[in-house]
Amino acid sequence: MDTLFGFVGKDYVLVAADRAAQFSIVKLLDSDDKITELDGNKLLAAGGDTADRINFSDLMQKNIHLYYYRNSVKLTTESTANFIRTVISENLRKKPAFADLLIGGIDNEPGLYYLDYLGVMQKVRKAAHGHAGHFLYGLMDNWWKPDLTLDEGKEIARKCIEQVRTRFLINQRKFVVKVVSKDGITLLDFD
Amino acid sequence: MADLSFLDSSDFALPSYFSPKEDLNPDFSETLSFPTPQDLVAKGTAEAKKLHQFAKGTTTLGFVFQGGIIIAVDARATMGSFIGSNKVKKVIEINDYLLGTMAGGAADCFYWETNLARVCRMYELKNGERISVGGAAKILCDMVGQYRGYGLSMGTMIAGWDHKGPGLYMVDDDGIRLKGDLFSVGSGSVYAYGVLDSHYRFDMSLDEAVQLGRRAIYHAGHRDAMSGGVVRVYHVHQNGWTNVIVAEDINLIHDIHEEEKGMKNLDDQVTFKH
Repeated sequence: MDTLFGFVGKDYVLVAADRAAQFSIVKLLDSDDKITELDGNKLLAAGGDTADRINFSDLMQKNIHLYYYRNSVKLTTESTANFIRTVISENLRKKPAFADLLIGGIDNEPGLYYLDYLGVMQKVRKAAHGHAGHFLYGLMDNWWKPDLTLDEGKEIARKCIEQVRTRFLINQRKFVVKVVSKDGITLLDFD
Repeated sequence: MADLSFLDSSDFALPSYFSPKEDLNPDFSETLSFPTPQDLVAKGTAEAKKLHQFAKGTTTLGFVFQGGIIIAVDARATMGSFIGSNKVKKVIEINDYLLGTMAGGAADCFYWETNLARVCRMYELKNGERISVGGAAKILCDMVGQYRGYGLSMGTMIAGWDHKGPGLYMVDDDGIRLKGDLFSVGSGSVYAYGVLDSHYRFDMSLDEAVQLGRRAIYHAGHRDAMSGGVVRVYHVHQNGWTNVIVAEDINLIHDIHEEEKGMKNLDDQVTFKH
């Protein structure tokens, strides 16, 4: 039931997630940040089962950092996505984790990767996860165009959040929106 | 406790009498030659659930305010419709500065939290300093996370005061570990949330906070069949924890409540007199 969405701009990747931590019918937290920061230059948004998404994204974050400490090189976005995909598919028939992911990062070009809990991976320009995600595909397809400026991207994100607030049955008012660009990771204020 | 397993399926919006397997396209897993992760986890959980019929029949709550943390719990233990006891101690005193609450299987909670106490003490001896609240919660989470799908039932809150100030964590047998300012766990939690969300403010005085915890547990104990007995309230502060209310009967609180509202002589009628 977690809503995640993201898209690629001219020189940045924008990733957003709702802020609710769900447990049965109760919203435990209104302030949960589902977007983990990898190496200071990549974003990993995770949705799905509360325990799995937190534990899996923490595990991936620590493994990516370990790679950096050992080799003094930060992985590219493509390598990160492939590494995470391999972990998911190796565990799929042993100890699967129910976590849908969006990986965004910028090397020379901005890149966004769609990864779901079965290990399906695809490099995309825009993506969404969760039940509310279905509402956003049409919206993003309508408004997205190549080479979006940051202001245009913020406007699209604002439209997506409004759409979820308006049409989705489950109350998801608060969202966390992060942008990764050559300058690093910025947290946008969307309340 | 109502059956909420419908929330786990991908088409949770469909009414319960609608069975997608027969009426719609075949289930995704039927077209695959291997079981999906959902099948594997569902199979394990279903088997585990058959072995251990636990529901977290209790109400526990905790919240952070300017004076520290208030932990309030009820005291009822049920086995199905049989009330085992109305005076259970659902707050486990892990050590002088850490408290854990008990919701779910009593044995599971008590064993793992006492084990946590042992590990925390070893940490103190090895490192010469007290363990942080987040660290203790993480250790507990990892201990029970290893037994995921094996039927453990434990929904606990770890509360304490460390170098970062007050810390309240909710740890669950699913492997959830969340830091927050306000939590309620158990079958009566939904009733407690209503009262808590109405009156909670960070800048409450100690007295207001204790009364809020007591009141929320009373309301939950009144409405939830699996919660009741006595209210116990603890206050976690810089110098450790204090047991503020040792045992206050929920039925007596109900009488006081009715008196205040002038409802003592009101009855509920089944049929109307003409």
